[in-house]
Amino acid sequence: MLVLSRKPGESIVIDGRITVSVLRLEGETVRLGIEAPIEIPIFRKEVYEEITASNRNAAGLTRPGIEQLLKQNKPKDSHAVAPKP
Amino acid sequence: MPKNTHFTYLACLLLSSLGILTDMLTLEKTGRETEAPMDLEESTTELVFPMGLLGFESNKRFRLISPSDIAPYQLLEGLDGTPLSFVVIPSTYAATDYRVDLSDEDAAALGLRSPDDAVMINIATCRKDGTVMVNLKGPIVYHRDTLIARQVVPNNAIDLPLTHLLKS
Repeated sequence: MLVLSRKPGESIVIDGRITVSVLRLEGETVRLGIEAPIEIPIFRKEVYEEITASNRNAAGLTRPGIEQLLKQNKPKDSHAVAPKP
Repeated sequence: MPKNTHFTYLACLLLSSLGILTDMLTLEKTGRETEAPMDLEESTTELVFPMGLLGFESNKRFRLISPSDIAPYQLLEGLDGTPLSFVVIPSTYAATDYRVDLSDEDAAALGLRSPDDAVMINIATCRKDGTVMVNLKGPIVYHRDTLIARQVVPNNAIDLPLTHLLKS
């Protein structure tokens, strides 16, 4: 792991197109500002890891298995917000 | 008007309008996209995820299949590399009072200009006991016309459950 020391107001540049700036320190919390091209998704790592784990857990059932399970468990109605006429 | 000023104004206008419309995103979803065609066994839509799914970043192309016999569930099958499939469900069926505050970055990356442009689905997990859990924290949003899709982490993700028990 590359380790760099930065002060508030200083930044690092990654790959010429991503800038991570230290905005300020609040006790034990560091406020970061990230500028990156719009096609680069940025996540808090713990959220990324829990959704990744959820996706892995959800993946991989074979289609017949899925269809058998789901026939037994259908939601009855859409939770439509608009009232029915 | 100098060109740069004009561009900045347009960008601000676009971002502010997206901010408003994304707040309304879920409210606008009233099941229109969930109606299965009656004369077809199943309909198929090919979605492109430029960034893949979280944890499956190299899988960019998926086929969204809506078999009428398991409606409203749908199947999301990967078209790149090793076989990969998910069960998904339109968000209107996923939970009551489900509201997603989409970030401006996600709305812009998807090219959403109006709430009607967006379709939202959620990944489901089937347990062996027959219960179905739905991931409300990381929904999939795609553009109805361009079919560009993204699994997003909404601004209000902290309030959304990763595993929500689907009531049957």
